[in-house]
Amino acid sequence: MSLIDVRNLRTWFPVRKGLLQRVHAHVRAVDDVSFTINKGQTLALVGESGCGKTTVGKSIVRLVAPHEGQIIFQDRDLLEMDSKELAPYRQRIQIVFQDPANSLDPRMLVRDIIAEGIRSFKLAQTNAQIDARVVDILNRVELSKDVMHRYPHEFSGGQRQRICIARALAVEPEFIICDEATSALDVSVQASILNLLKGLQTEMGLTYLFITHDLSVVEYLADQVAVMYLGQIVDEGTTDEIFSNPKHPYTQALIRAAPGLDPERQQLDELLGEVPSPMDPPPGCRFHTRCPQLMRRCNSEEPDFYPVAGGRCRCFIHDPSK
Amino acid sequence: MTIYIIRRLLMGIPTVLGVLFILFSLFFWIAKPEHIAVKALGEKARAEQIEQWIQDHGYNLPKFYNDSCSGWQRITETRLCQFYRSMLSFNFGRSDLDDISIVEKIHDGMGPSLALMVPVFIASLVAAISISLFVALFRGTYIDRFALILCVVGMSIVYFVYIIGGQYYLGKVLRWYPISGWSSQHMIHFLTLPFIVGTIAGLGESVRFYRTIMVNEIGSDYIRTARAKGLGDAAILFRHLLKNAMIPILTRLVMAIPFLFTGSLLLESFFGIPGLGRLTVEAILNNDFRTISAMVYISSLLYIAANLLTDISYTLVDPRIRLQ
Amino acid sequence: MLLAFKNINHITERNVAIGILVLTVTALVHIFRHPFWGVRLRGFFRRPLAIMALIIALLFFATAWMDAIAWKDAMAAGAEGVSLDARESRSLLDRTFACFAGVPEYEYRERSYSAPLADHEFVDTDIQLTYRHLMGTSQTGHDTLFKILKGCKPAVVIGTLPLIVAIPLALLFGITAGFFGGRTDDLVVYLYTTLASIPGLLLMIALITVLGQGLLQISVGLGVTGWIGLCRLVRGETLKLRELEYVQAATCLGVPPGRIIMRHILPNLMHIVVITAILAFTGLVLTESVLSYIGIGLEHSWGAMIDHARGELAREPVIWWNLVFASSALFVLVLCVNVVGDAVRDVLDPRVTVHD
Repeated sequence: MSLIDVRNLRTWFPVRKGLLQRVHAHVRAVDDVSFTINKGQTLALVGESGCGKTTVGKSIVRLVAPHEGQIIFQDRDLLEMDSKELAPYRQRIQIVFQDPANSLDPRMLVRDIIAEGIRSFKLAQTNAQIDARVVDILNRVELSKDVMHRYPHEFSGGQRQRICIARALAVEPEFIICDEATSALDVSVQASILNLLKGLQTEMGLTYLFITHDLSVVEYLADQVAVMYLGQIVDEGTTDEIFSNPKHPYTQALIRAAPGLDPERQQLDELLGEVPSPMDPPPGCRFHTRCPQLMRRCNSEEPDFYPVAGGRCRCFIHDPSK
Repeated sequence: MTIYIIRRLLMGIPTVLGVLFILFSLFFWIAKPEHIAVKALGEKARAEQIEQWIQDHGYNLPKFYNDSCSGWQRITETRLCQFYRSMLSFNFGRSDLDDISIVEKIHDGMGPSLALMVPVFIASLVAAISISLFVALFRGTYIDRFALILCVVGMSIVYFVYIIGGQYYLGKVLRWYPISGWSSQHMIHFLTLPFIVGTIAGLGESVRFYRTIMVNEIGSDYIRTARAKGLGDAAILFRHLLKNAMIPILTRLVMAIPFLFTGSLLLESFFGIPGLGRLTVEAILNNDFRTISAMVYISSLLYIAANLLTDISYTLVDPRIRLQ
Repeated sequence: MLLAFKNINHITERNVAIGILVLTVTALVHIFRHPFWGVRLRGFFRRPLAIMALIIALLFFATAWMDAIAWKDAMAAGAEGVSLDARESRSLLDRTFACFAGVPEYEYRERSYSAPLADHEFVDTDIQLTYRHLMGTSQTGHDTLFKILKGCKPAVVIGTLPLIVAIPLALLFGITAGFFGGRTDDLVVYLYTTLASIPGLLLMIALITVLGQGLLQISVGLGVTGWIGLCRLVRGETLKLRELEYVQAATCLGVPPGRIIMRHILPNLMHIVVITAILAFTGLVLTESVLSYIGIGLEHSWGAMIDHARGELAREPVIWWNLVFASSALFVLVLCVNVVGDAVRDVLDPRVTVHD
């Protein structure tokens, strides 16, 4: 059963210009993105920086206003709600950010940081109840209860990320968006946070949207993978299928460019060229300016999704009518 | 670029109108016309005289809305509208105090003001930048520390003390310059002392300002690269540092331009220079609201223009700032 | 509404000074109870120069507060044969000064000028003085040292009261503009660009001439012109804070905007307010002396003393002590507060780090 169903999401940012500051163009950060995540599953959203993956996450929690589309969360469209209706849904969807340095208010005690959501959603009344909950959550993220009366600057990056996860967990969400949640951490710390997230998922039945550029993380955590390029999803499938048998030329290039621990490989394959501007995406297939398997129709026709083994792919190579 | 300039100019219009509204509410809405009349005519003026004076100066009209007229005149035949009309057409009328045309007064005052302020502006700029460069080269040493303390000391002295001290020591004790006074034939004779005082008085603050900029620039990566390349200190200074520190310096300079015209209130009134600064001080002392509002209006216009100028000059200095 | 200010004259420096004392103590207690500030401010106490300046500045403040605490002598008030002066309430400062100087009467006066530590009058050298005056006396025979001490209160009050007007204004407008953006932002930016286009000193003078003279009027005049700079800073900082992850996380946690401002935005820009307030104090004290020159300053302030003493240098022989001591007092206070402000800025503001 799907928990969240994103349909044709478009988040465009206007670019104003000229004498009257008319909207002159749009930065198409997210341009027609659709995906569904089943309850208890993890979808990894992968792509280079600037491809719009973070905007997808922020659109779902309404930190930026999407242009059009639907975000169906348990049969209700989040985008149609006003802020009052949205309030109970805010509790069920939480987000964990990348930068552990800026995601905790430096002037608040860890206790108050974690209790913030408990207070605002009135999940506990008395101070003692709140404290009990905070201690419980700190246990879950494997922090001792002594940290309650300390300030964020006293912790390491990994510990701060645990506090961020605790803050999100404190309101008992069903769905957590991890926006590059492990990208700023050392590899060893990264592993412990990933293990924590995986443990919490089985323990509490959480659903994750895992936004990252780091493919090694994806392989460990995700059930499904969606690859984004220039505001669009170009390739989608099960993790096994994407890694063992990538379909889209972009996915293939990404996997080949990822530095693994394979001692046999002497050199990494680079993906040539720069990402075009999302203000003015190239016609036809958005990837055609950098594609190694360029065909004639690529720069004029826009490819649709074509079903492939274990998922779907936006590339003419897989066009069955060809 | 042209579109940007036009846009900025258009955006200045509401600001000018707002400034005028503030002036109107300050001087002509809150202050009663009878008071102005009494100020102008003297305490002994008779009631009819005051009445007549108010009539003559148009102070008897309603402020915002004229009931006795019809059509557009309801709005145009008001003091607010007349005020806007006279200000926007630079037709300031006559001073409430001595009935001399304000435009004429301003015209007469501009010369002495510029004669004093332009040299002060140039001299303090040259002095401040060269001293701050020198200090910045010795950053972190005792020279730097000492200079910083001197700057703070300089900033903490009241402006009067510079003036009075200058007048006393250079004027009275050493008898080098006249203490105050003015004659258009011997301008330099009378202007030297205020020039010296004006230049020294602002030095502490500006040296500290420029030093901060220079020290920040010296610490930046490109200066380190330049040094790593083996460029000499002087080359770094002039080829890289000054060029890159230009933006904050430019802002400061352009924003000082309005004061060149409006003069310095204190310097001019202490040294008896018949410039715009003294004109303003006298108008303030005599509650001559018309002259004050004309002066404030002109300085605001200059300020708005200077603001526009800095924004445009940014694009010329730094190609990275492309204004949309 | 503006006209109403003309009638508010019962707000005296004394009340204000006591109010400021209460506010400062509460603020200090609050700051030092909060460990975040405590950690940052500890750096301040590693600077000997700053500590020295702080102590001297506090002496000035203490003098002002001593002058603010006053009471009547119950005995003297009713008793006959007591001079009219003695029936007025006398401040702690008056009493302490009388005690130390050994002057029995309330504010002992000479006939005219006397030089510092002279034992005879300045102009009429034949007349012997009863007391020697450490800093001489003024033309009316008042002791200069006493006048200097009395000047502390107006200086402290004029340096602080406008801030009490300006800071809430700046925070209110700056934070709403920065946080909500859009039309609100446009309106606030328009408001402060318009006000900023009018030369500050002129606007201030205009406000005071229109509102009338008096402590509150001057403070409003100084405050209205003073909030613009801080408002600009606050708006810029709010714009930056609004995009930070912890503010966004609070939105996701369902915290309403009002509470986000109070809990996350306001505390995180408080350091800017503190730095600006300390450095603005000096500007205000210096500006007051300019206002005194134009004739719209406070009574008994050092600015007024300097203004009175202006002509004395032209006399022969020169009467220098009034001018010198009044401007030195002003200079020392402003210098010390400047040094303290610089140190606080270095400690609190991570952006103004000096390289190398």
